[in-house]
Amino acid sequence: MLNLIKTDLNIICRKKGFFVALVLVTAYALFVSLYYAYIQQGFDVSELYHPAILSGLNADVELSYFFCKYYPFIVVMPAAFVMISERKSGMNLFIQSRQGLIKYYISKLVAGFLATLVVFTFPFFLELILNVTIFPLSATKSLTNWETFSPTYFDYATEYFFGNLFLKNVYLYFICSVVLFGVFSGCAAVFCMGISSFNIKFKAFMFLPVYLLLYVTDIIGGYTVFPTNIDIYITAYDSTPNKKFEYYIFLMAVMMIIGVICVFINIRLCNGKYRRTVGE
Amino acid sequence: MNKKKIILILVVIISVINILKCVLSGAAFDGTSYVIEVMGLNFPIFTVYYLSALITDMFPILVFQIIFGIFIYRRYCTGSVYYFCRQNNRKLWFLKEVIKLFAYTLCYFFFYLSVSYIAGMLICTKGTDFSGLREMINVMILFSLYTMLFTLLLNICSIVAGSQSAYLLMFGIQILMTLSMLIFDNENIFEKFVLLFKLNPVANIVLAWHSTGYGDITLPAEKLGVDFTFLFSAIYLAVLLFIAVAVGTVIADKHDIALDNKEEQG
Repeated sequence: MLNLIKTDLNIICRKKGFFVALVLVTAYALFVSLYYAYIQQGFDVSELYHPAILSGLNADVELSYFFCKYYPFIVVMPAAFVMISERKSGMNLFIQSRQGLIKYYISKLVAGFLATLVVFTFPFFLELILNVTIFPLSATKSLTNWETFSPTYFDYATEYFFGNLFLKNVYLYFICSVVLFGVFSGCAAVFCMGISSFNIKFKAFMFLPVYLLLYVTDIIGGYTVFPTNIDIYITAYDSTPNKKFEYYIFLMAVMMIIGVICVFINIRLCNGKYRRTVGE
Repeated sequence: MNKKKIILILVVIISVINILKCVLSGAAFDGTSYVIEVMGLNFPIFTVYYLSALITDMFPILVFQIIFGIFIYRRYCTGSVYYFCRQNNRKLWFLKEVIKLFAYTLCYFFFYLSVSYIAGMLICTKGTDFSGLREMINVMILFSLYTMLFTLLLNICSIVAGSQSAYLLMFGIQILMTLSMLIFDNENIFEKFVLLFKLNPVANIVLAWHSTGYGDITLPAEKLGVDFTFLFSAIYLAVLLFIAVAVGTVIADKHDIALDNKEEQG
């Protein structure tokens, strides 16, 4: 099974979609970093922002609002089209006859999850390394413009997910946020791949499921006790009150479960088709 | 599933969402402000929060683009040689497809906006005020022209570069056009670059930003006395659409169908 996952990961990483998504997210992350490097030229170190805070994933960075709007369209790029390509070219029959249906689909889902995780974590880690190189480590200002050690800022920061970790070590907090974001993106990829396992004729329709899901969660957020807009969950350094970490995990679990259920429905349908063909 | 069923399902889903938004907002609207604030896109200031909310509210437009972005392109996928050897004149075929696509766009926006309008008038104004009818028709025209333009561009880019790249590019362009309006938060910059604002297709579909006097909705165009009429927007979007059709006709005619099927690559 491990060899199958390695092979599928290899296949996905050689696809154009993976490359395009990686380039886009990396370009965004590097743009934010270089933009802040440009505007902070000549500033005193007491006026400079903390290196781990200057990230494209920071909710206080204006561009992150627009990255979150573009996110439903990029997240499907690495892995959601793989099964459709193989079905159209007929390769899926060769591979399924050798691996078996269950191993084929499970290895595809795992490889898709891992590939999307890499696409949405690697650029931000690269950005962190770049920031740590460009900006002095003694810079402590935040994009909220509150004084670094003010009690108001501390109260504000406790609203972050893992707020206490942020107060102890900003770098660790940022790494956790990026990994969580990567895991969420992987779950979205699994959700898309599950739906793509059905007989979808055009790859372009795969842009719809994640976009629809995130739009519906955005709409219902106005009428629930806690906010459900996904933008405030995937970004780091967001202090929207009342947001629930359980909701974030619930959404990831729902996407994974739907993806896996779709795949198993497909396996049963395929098995039924083969039995009717063979005449059992 | 045929196109009529797809349009019907889309109309029903999006009308229901719009009606729910109206009912659950609890606000009391009059006819005109209901059309502008709930059905149209009304975000009075160019800040990051409102502009990103504008992109969220473009959901009906983007969903139509996702589904119909392959309307013409699908003929260039599997069996394209078989299909096109039976079309004597590819340019004429392309123009017929454009007209069909425009008809679907008009139907979609007519039905979804009408249902939302009637339900909104009955719920929000208790059926007493139907004054927003002219504004509704304006919204329908602007939305149809804009959606038709970008759906056609999606089809054309899909023919040239494949559907994945085309979709990413077109949605990226629309988000960038919205993002670029951040600079107009400053009134001095708005006065200096008002032409850039008027030439931005996304700015042209927000009815509330036009200088046609919608009560106390604050508009930079209205405040600064800039002339930004509905007629200008309609004609501008129609001209862009005409250029897109012309370019698309050439591309659809010249594109080589024998050698590659972009849907099976990548």
